[in-house]
Amino acid sequence: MKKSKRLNYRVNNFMTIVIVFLILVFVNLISNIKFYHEDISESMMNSLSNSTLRVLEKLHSPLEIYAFFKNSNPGYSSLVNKLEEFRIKNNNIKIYFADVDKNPEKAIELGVKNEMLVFFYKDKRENVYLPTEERITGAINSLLSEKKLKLYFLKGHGEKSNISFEKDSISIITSALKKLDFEIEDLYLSEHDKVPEDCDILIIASPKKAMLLEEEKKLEDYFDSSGKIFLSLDTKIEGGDGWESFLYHTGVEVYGGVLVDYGSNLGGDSRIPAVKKYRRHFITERLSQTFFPLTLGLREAKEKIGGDFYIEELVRSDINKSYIETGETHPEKIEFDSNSDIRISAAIVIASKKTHVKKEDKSVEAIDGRIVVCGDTSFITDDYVEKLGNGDLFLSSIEWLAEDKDILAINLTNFNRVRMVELTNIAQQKIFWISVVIIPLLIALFGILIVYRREHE
Amino acid sequence: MKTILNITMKEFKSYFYSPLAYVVLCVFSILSGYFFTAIIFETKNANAFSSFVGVLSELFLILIPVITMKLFAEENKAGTFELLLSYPLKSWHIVCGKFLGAFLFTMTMLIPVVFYISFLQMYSVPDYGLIITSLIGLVMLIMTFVSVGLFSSVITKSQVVASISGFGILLLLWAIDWFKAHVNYTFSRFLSYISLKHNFNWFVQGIVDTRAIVLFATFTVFMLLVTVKIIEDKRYSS
Repeated sequence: MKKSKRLNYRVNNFMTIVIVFLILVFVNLISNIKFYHEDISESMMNSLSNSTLRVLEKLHSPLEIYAFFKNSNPGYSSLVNKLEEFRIKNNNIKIYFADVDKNPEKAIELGVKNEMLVFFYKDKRENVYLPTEERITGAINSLLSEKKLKLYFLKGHGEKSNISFEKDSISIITSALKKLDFEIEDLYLSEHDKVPEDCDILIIASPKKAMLLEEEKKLEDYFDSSGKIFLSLDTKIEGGDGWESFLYHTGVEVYGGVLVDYGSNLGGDSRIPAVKKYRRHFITERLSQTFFPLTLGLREAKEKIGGDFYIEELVRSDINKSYIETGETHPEKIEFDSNSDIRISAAIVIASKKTHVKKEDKSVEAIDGRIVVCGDTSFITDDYVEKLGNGDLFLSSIEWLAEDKDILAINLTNFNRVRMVELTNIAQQKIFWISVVIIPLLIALFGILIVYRREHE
Repeated sequence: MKTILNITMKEFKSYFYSPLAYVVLCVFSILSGYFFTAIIFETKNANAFSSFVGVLSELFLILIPVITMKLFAEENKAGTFELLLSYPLKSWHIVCGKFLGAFLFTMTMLIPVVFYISFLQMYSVPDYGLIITSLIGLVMLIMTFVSVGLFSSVITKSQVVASISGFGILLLLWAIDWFKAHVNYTFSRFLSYISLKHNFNWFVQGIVDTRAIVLFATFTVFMLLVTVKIIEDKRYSS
């Protein structure tokens, strides 16, 4: 009798556990259907970029993604997580995973092999190999877009090369732009009567030689007809008058000398200003630290000509500890010369938007001319573009220039969400001693004291 | 509620009467300090704090079963468990009190982390969103780990067995999605969903995911309920 009572009691307990278990499973199922999933970090380093989200917002019809991947592939887990992020953000995305070896019929039907993604949207198809976020978004963007955007690199004035093995080339950003589905072409302006009509963005990377007056006029006309330009300068411009007067036309002025920043720089080299605080702007949104080796100082032109501008100095040197070195630069010796140098905080990146242009007949026309001017080009060369937030700054600038044109900028590197910890040797030693020695020692001493007192009581 | 609070405080204080607590605290602070400095000096990136929290979670995987092993196993072995059951206390009061006591003690282990965050504030511009989500994830994980430790402590009289079985259960739940490479996509998603590590990873990535919060909370509730039922069974038997 007693045994049967005990058995009943145990059965009751067991049933309670099972019922609660089922209720909790149900709660989990519900939470899996309706859930909140949001990256609240400032760096947004593990979530989809803003550009991807903007592209996904435009997706209103079903998009099927077939992922042909072996689940033993080392990149399988991260791909699953990444695609899951896409699916969470847009319910129209349907994902199917398959292994070519286990599912050969489907593979033959689609003509695919392992380690690739196939996207189907309406009657269009896109293939993606080595699926990174930028490639996946590029493919979705391409499926949604009506036409590819065209980007010209200006040539003929000693600009940086796009070929990878050349010194100081900008091949990494060129290939990043290609992955983002841009059509890219070189432009020798002297061979054309104007900047081509199909030019969505013109990139001028480090011109070293003066341009002809006619070329300057063509660039000004392009800017005044809602043209979009990215112009990065170099400290070694020979006969830079043409460029300076063109920049003046866009509302930007250049200081004649290298910017030296004692306050915030990279590795103690004051000729490499490093910036982590920016003026709030589309381009600088969530931008991590950037640095600019040997940069010219810029400023907003005091007087603007030919129309209305909206100019913003996005990146500036330290307010109190920077100056323009106008005299001869000595690689070894960096010293403020009160006779020639100008103690001033200068801009390093300026975004200028021309909203109205005054015509010769004094009428005013609304335009949307945009230019991003950088005092330095080294930050986008292959040596530096993947470091810190440099690549992001460039791609965000391109995105701003092409705003409302379905363009996107995705993180160029995995290292672009770095919050630099600037530690001197003394600081390192201090942190190490406090963390590894002093805190544990205090705990041990406290413990010994308490245990000793208790034993003696 | 007052009963639970009393048991919680008694349990919390009892940790500090034993040298084991100081050994655990000391070892943990040396290891956490070492890993923090190693990670930050190597990466020079304040966002690597999330990697550090990832390492902490693995330290807790080992240390929490050691912290919780005594909760019931000690009383079982010393024969005071029956005495405890004879008090006019409800089983869930005992379980909740002991759970909160162990949880509070584990939280004291995180005090050095406040110093680490202040170092980041002094020498960098830390991402507080990332830090907050990482810490929320760690707290949720500690809750779950302590509930499993409590369960493993109630099923045996031996503290060593309680510690090892607790560690075994946690390791299984932690790494269950390691098998996902060998199963189909749907089942691999299920394994990821129940894996503690997978759910914890959302938090260290700066993501707040209500599915992970619900999973940790329901798992903790379930383990506490099972512990309560085992105690009730023992109480009935005695």
